[in-house]
Amino acid sequence: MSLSDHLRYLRARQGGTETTVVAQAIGLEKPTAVNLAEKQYRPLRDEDLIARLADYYGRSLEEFQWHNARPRKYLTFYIARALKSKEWITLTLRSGRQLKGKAEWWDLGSIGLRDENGRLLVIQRHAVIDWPGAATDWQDV
Amino acid sequence: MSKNLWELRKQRNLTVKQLAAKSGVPAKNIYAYEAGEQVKIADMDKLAKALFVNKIDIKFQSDPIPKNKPEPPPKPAPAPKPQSAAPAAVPEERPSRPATEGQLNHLRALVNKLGLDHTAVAQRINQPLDELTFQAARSWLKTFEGELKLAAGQRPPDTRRWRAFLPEGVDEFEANYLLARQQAGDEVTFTLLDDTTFNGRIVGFGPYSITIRQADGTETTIQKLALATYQVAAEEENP
Repeated sequence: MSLSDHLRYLRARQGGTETTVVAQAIGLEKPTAVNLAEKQYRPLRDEDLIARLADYYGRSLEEFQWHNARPRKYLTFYIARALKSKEWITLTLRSGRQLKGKAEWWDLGSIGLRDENGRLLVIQRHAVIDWPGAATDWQDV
Repeated sequence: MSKNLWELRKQRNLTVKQLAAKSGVPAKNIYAYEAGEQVKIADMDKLAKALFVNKIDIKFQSDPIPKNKPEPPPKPAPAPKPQSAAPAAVPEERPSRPATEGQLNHLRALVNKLGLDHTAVAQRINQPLDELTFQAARSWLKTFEGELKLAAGQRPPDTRRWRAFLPEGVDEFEANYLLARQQAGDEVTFTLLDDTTFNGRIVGFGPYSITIRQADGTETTIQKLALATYQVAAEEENP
């Protein structure tokens, strides 16, 4: 799960607080930076903003940095490469469940995974929290 | 940490004019932004793309450029040409050159594509096609191309993919999959992020939610952001 997905998830868990409220709480005049942070496909580079948001949501900075090192673009790289090479993939979901199979398709929101029993499972990309080499083995795609 | 626009530009060894050309943002706007004016959202997007950075990497309001590093002064305007004593010669009106063979072939092809009669076209343009001048042919080419585009308006609608605004939105493959399951009336098992499951048949879906009808007739709408996985219930899936 990328930091942007994590941010939207945390805000939803708070009851869907408006980003304007979040922005004001972390000392920003406008919600633009918060809105953009929630829609990033690449790592967020503003360390100060990450720290302020972590503080606001009562989470550790390390947790936010961990998510920030696993952006959607890197997951795309992992899936696209496996789709091409027909390798099996392993995805860890937020609940801790691990899923293995062959990627059949992917798009912006989900991944079609064919498991060992030949059944197709649709996995939401925002539910994927980790995968092998998530933070180290990637190229921007 | 976001940086001043001028810092990012200089890091990439770009002049304001070069950045303007790359981004499509007028140079006068870039000068204003670098002097401290707030960057417009629309321009921010273009500038970020041209500088290969994220939008939030650029400060909305740049600090002024330090005076010890002044911008190179603009090149002096070229000196005016010395005026010759002799009065400027009045240019002679040149005869228009005839249309090229390529123009005429293109025109004939367009007329044929539009299904027009060549005699009627000659009457419309007040002369035979072959006698058109270069300029006139160019003008009529534009006219007929425009008419052809209008006629092409009867083509099937644009089939480009539609994308949801938020990353968790239903995109192309998922939309096709959901639609197929809905039309087949398959029972689908949905698992949420906390491992709660729901079984039901898809009633409909939007960019950020899926509505299902459960066995007891209850309709439930599942928000995509709360959803982890789903698949057709085991006994119904085709091998």
